[in-house]
Amino acid sequence: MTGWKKWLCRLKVLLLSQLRSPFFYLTAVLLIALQLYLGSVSLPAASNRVIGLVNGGGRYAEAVTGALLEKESAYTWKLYPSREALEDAVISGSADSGFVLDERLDAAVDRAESADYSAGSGGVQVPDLSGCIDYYVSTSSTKGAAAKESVYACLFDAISPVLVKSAIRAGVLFEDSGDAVWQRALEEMQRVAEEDTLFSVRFEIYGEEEAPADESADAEKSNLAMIAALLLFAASLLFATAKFRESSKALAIWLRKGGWIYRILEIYAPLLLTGLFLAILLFLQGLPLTPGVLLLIPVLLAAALWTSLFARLFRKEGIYLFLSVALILIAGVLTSSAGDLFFLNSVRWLRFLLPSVWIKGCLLL
Amino acid sequence: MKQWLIYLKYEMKKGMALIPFFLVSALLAGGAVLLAAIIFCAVMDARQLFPKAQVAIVAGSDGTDDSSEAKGDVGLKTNLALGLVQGMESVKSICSFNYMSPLEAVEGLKDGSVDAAIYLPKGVYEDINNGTNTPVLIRLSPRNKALSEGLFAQLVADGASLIRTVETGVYSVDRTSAVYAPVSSLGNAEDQMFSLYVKCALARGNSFTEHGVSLFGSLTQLQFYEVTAILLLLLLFGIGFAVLYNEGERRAVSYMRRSGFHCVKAAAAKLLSATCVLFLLLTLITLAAGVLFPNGIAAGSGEEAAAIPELLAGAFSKLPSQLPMILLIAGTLSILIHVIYSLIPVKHAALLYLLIVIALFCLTGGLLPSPSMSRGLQTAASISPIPLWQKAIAAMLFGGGV
Repeated sequence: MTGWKKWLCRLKVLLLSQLRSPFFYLTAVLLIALQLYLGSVSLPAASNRVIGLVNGGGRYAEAVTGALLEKESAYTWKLYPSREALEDAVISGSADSGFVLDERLDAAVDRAESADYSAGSGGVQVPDLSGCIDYYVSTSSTKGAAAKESVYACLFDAISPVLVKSAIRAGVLFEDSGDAVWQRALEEMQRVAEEDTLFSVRFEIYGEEEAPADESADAEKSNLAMIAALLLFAASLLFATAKFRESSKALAIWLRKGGWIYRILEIYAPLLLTGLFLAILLFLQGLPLTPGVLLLIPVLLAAALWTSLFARLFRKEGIYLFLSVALILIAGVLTSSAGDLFFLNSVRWLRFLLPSVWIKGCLLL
Repeated sequence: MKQWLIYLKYEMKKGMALIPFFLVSALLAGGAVLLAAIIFCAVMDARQLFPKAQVAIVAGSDGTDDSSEAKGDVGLKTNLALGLVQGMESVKSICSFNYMSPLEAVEGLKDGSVDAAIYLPKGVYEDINNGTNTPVLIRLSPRNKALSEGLFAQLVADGASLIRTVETGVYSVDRTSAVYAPVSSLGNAEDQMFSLYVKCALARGNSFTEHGVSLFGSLTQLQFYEVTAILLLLLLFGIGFAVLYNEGERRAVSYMRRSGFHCVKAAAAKLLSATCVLFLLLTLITLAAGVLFPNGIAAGSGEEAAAIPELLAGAFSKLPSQLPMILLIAGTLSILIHVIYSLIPVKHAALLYLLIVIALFCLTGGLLPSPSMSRGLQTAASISPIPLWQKAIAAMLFGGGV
């Protein structure tokens, strides 16, 4: 066997032994678990339009929740089975805020409806709805205050006949305060509601409407790619710890001239396989993979070279691992959209020195 | 006992020898961890930034003449009503108003600086009063970009719904009066009805009982990540303890066991040594945090910069109350470190420790609060020591029970 063939043969054996290492599979499993976890967490976001509702029973709760769920709205009204489920949703950010409507509304309206006006003028009893609706809001909620108006508008509509009835029964409107007057007023209310005499607002788009960009979907893809890129960078830093193993040192000496190539390849081989696993996972998570993903093959090689050079700076594994974690955190900041924030703008160019940014670029091509 | 004390002294010496490594590592990585925590927090804040809709009020125009540069007048009553609307919490939360001329409004809609324009024709208030349907025109920006724009339109629709409900009631009284005689006059009956509706509508805010909840429990977001940064740093210190569990150490313990020295005693000595080292380090971190951020990171370094000796005195004065918690955290952390190193093979000890700790940290509520995780992971978090350490560090830094 000629010299280079002998060297390649040795290299093949060494790479296979690297891929048989339980450490490689342990790392891959951990990275996949992290990718699945970080890709699926729900965090509060301003783009969330979900407003939670709980129908705790009662006529008015039924009427209001029914009306809110049926009518077209800028909010996405979602019915939750219980107060606890709603509270969890608001805490986790899957709902921006939420409302619990229950029989307290019926009790408040019934009290006003059954007020006794026979003793003389004590004023009209309007339903006292104070504290009847539980409103769940988190520190990150942005739409709760505006959503209250939608809830109240439906409730106001539902109690409107009761207001007219109370005023008629109290004798402040007509000389006759019997049920016949109230029945007549109710019929008139229904007629008025169907006519075109009520106040209205006309919405108009000024100019040609542009198709809205699906920013949330783009952000979701970018997040998935960023997490995968960071995890692959972390993997390359972890695989580079092989240089601290006695066996690896001995093998590098055995390979003599080609030692530095072996150093890079012992990072590259498991990294490429991990990259393949993560690419499949990303595809399953909904990130469309284009032929651009093939660029990962050379980019991961460059990442392996980068980490190999970084690892050369250290003699002790402890310090290397400690600083690798710090490096990943910094890479996380520069690879994410945080890199666009205020003071980081001046050092934006630094991000292009990091392999995680190259990997993210490939995944989003 | 004497034998154990000698062994303890040996372990303590080895533990203390690690302190320079920890200090160098903490200085190098601590800043990065803290910076990343603050920036992570800023990213979370940016996710929650809500762009308010910029709304132009075009008074005295029905939208037919867009070339006028003069700002119109809608009358006193409409102006008063607008003032009330602008002051509402719901309105303030999603949009801000500016009075503009028709020309300014259309130019704003074109260049995107205005998201919506409300055209209020002359006498709109009187029209509502008289039962004339004069539609209010609302022009939306063609860019259809802002989420706030949709919410603004919804808010307007809700406001219009309130007005329609009032109109329905008042107009029904008006029509019923054709059959049944009003008490004094029709105008008086309508006013009575209108007042009742307005009384109810103005009290609508009282209908809601607010329950404030937070992803970060009793902490603020920044406090949570301050705690997270310190906990991560403490967990990373465990990497340094790998040398206490290397091949030679394990062999030495094995020989000692054969000569009658119980392995529990050896473990106790190692635990005590690690606890002492972590106790010292955590005390230093607590003092440093007390000097750098006397009121927590969230409050910055304080409005009035105090002198270093005063800050040190303040940090030292708090220390006695913090020491029991520091000891508890150091003790439990050293138990975790000992358990992990005792179970994993020597060959990749530091690396495996890091993998286990990072998995534990990330998957059980260290990186993100457990309510944001799936049910399975929330269960895992409930039996993980990570949330307990977070609570202990939070109690130590910001007070309150654990």
